[in-house]
Amino acid sequence: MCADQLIDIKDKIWNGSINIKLEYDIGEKTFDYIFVAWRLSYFSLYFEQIARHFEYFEDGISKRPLWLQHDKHPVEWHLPIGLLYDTLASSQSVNKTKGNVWKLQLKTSEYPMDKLIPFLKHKPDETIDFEHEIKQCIVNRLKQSCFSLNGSSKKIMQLSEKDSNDLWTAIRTHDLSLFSSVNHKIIPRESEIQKIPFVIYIPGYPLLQVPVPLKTNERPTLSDILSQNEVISEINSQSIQWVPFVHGLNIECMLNVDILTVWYLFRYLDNFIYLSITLK
Amino acid sequence: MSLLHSESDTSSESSTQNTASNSSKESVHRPSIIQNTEGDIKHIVSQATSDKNAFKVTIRFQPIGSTPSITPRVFKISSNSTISTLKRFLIKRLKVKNNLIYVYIQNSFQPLPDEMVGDLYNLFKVGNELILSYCHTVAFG
Repeated sequence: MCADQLIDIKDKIWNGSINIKLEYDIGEKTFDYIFVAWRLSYFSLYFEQIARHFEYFEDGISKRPLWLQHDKHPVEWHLPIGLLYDTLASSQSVNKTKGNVWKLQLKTSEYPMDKLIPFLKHKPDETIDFEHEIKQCIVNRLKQSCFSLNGSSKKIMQLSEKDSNDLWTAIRTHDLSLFSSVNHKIIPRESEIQKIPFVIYIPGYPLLQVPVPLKTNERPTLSDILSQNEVISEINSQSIQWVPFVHGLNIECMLNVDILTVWYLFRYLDNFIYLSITLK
Repeated sequence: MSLLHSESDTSSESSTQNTASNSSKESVHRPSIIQNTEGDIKHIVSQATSDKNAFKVTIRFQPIGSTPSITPRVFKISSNSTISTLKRFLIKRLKVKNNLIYVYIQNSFQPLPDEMVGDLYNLFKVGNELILSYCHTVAFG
């Protein structure tokens, strides 16, 4: 793969977006909110603008924790939107309308505390500070991936205050050049990478993580890594056909590509790779 | 079967048997989407993460700052338990009124509630233990 092609793929992944239609019931009426979300972003980063919109129809909604529901499944706002779409919606034609819109229900009561991370912080005007919680989550994800890659989280802890702020601003505002300018300071040189942060996501289940050490003579392929996982082994032992998905792409053709190349291409903003498994 | 089993601790704490009631059955949410569209995956994940495939992980709980310690500090826990189970256990043991406890691995990052203890052990163990530091407030920003 030449450098131009790589840049083209990275660019397409960065600019990937999803059409979303939220439905919110007030009394017997249903109100909609339609927007385009970045695949690499997080729902909680959109909650403030969503709450502001529905304030026109219902007072005080900004003071209540929002959450989204897909077919009775609470949508995890701390995971990338693209990943959630690939696992929850893409296999379900029933929830898609013409024009490929992902329909979700917006809820403002009965927050499922046992399934979603709660929003705890309020702003001085008593509205919920949605950004605070997602920032905490992503910073901790970045620290965790930094630890896996480097063997410690020193590199991220040693970022200057400006770099730390820039990194968050880049994630929040979807600014690729700003993001890359700081993120490369966390990533070690290729020869120094200890472990690849790798997650298999199946909705409703704990995140399945596979340790991917690179300090071996022969660099493992994606297929080698997947076969180490109990879930994948179980699928394979039953001769069930499956397809790995990342960023909405079927990457079956990359099963024999070395894991580092796959990671460089497809890592998310928190430097993890999240893979979803779909049965054929 | 109890979820958490204490183990003799090298730092001379007592090793009385500990149980965390209500936590013995890990309540992993199994949404209807999987039943409806990917019934096979539901079955397979249940098989693969079932108790028969689980192993015991040694956890050492380490308080940060003025947060009280628990006795004993070392427990054995099933690898398919999640961080949210451990947090519930700590909240109960420490009788935390606001139900808030912050848990850290390697004195560095907070794991997500839906991460599995076995996976974190494989990635971040020190010796043969996964060290979990905990605090009433945010300890590492």
